[in-house]
Amino acid sequence: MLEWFSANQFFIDNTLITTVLVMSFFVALQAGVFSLASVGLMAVGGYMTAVLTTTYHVPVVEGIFAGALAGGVMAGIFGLAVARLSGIYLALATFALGQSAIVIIGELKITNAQQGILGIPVLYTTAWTVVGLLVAAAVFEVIRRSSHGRAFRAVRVDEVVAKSIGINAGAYRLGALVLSGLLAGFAGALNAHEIGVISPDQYNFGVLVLGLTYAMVGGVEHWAGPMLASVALGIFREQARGVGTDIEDAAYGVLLVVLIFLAPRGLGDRRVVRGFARLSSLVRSRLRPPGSRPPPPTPLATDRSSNERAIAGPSVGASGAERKT
Amino acid sequence: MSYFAQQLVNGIALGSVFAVLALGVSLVWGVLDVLNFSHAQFMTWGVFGTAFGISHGLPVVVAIVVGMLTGATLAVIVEEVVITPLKRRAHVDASSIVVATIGVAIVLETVIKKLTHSELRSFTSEGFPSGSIPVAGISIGLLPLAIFLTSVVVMVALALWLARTRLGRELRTVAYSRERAEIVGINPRTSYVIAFVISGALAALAGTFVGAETALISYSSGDGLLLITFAAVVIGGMGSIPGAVLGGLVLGIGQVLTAAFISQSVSDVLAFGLMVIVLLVRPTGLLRRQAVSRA
Repeated sequence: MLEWFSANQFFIDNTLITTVLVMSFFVALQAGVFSLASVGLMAVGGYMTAVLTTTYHVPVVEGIFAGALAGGVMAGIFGLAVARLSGIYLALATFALGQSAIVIIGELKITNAQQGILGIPVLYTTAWTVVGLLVAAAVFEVIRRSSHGRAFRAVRVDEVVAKSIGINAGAYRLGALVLSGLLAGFAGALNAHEIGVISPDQYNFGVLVLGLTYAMVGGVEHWAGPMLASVALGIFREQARGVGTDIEDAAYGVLLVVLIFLAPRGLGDRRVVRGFARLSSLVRSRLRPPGSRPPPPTPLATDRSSNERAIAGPSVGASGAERKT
Repeated sequence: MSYFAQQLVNGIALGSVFAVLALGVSLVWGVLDVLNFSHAQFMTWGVFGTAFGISHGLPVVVAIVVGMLTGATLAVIVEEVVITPLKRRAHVDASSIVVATIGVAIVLETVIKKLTHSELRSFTSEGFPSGSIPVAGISIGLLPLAIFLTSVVVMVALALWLARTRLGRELRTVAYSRERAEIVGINPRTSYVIAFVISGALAALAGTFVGAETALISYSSGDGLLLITFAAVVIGGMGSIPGAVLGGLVLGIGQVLTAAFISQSVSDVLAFGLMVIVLLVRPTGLLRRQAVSRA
């Protein structure tokens, strides 16, 4: 076990840090904020701790906290700026803001412009990330079960209705963005201390695609969705990379399209979870000896379309409203 | 002064390339409500199509047509296989389709990377206009001039087609409202296909321009231009055809002039900066009069 762990150290750490970034996308998405600023905020967090620990010799732990905080503060500023926007306009605005942050970092003296910062103390332990993720999961679960979780969901599903029942939609959206920024900054800081070298061009479009697609595959319904998706896709890509990086990329692209067809709202979507539950109960009932088989399995397997209609029935109102027009 | 005028001409040429790219994205957004992240790959495949034609001894104009056909075919395949089927499904929203187009972009880029063995290839300038002519004291490169003129012809033709022909008007109706188009007997799927044909062909044309200017092409040629294209679309107003042209020109001229007279870094941040300003001050873009919906 320990041997396997040390042999795959780099892969494990990378997957965990990616998961933190994915959760940053998730927090925004679950409040209906299609934010693409996370990679820019990750750069802010990474550079914060890099500058503090190299130029000002701040201890690493404080540096990481400062990085996360910087991401959160920056996200708050972005959030206030884009408060009027929603949908694809919000996505493009947050994207432009995040990219501007990266471009500006690439021009400043204090961040050593395009050369980036070398010699960041490499003081990274897997435990920190695991603890960070566990804390995040606990916080998400507490939020999910509280009235705030329901408020986030309401803002995502229909902002107008949410406002009409007294939810301060703007505040929730801003809060979601700040949380997203905290996580992105944390991911950036961890990443900086894992590899010890950062430069503006490592926060590229590829990282954004990775974080966004993992989060979308996981879905916005439940925090476990993107967390599992991130680990599963990380393993999938690691295995595919064994065959060749081109195969990895192509396979990932195809997988992405297929997953969007199968589960357009992500794997955490209730319809998908219920589908899995039905499938497994179906398999179990088939596996039972013939004598003990329960009465005919109704239209479950035979008439799929009517079954889907029946499932979709009660939620039509909500899903109709959720579709943005 | 003559230096300024020359830079201005270069800016206009670059801006018309951006405009041609932005036209395709804006058209697809207007008609299908899809922000297409695989647009850059239509461009890359198109320029390789042109290069293929030239290397097989075709005249440049014919080769460009080959490239445009490549881009258009690819676009139609993506539309028929991925985007329209997704749009017809319930529970699929705009952000899911964005992710699907990202997946398509990854696949297309990997395939062209494999096909070209990830090499940087030189793009022959033979047969393209070269040299320059003196006009009013400044020398104007013939290639930028040709790019500019071709773009103008394409844009005017597109505008006339949209305004005057039956198919063009159908397309605008679908863009205005799919439901209302269906009520008056227009099949929106025809418009979807046409929007993607035009988008793919224009992307390929723009790719050929870029290839001719830089003389080098690779599987990742289109990557950086995708973001600039989106910026141009946003600045002009999403879904607006004149807006896409204006946005492209503003960005092209702005980038060249700031690089020449201020600094390269200002030029780099210009696209994102202008995009942010426009989104914050006037989210519907410079030329979109009213917001049909900002969601």
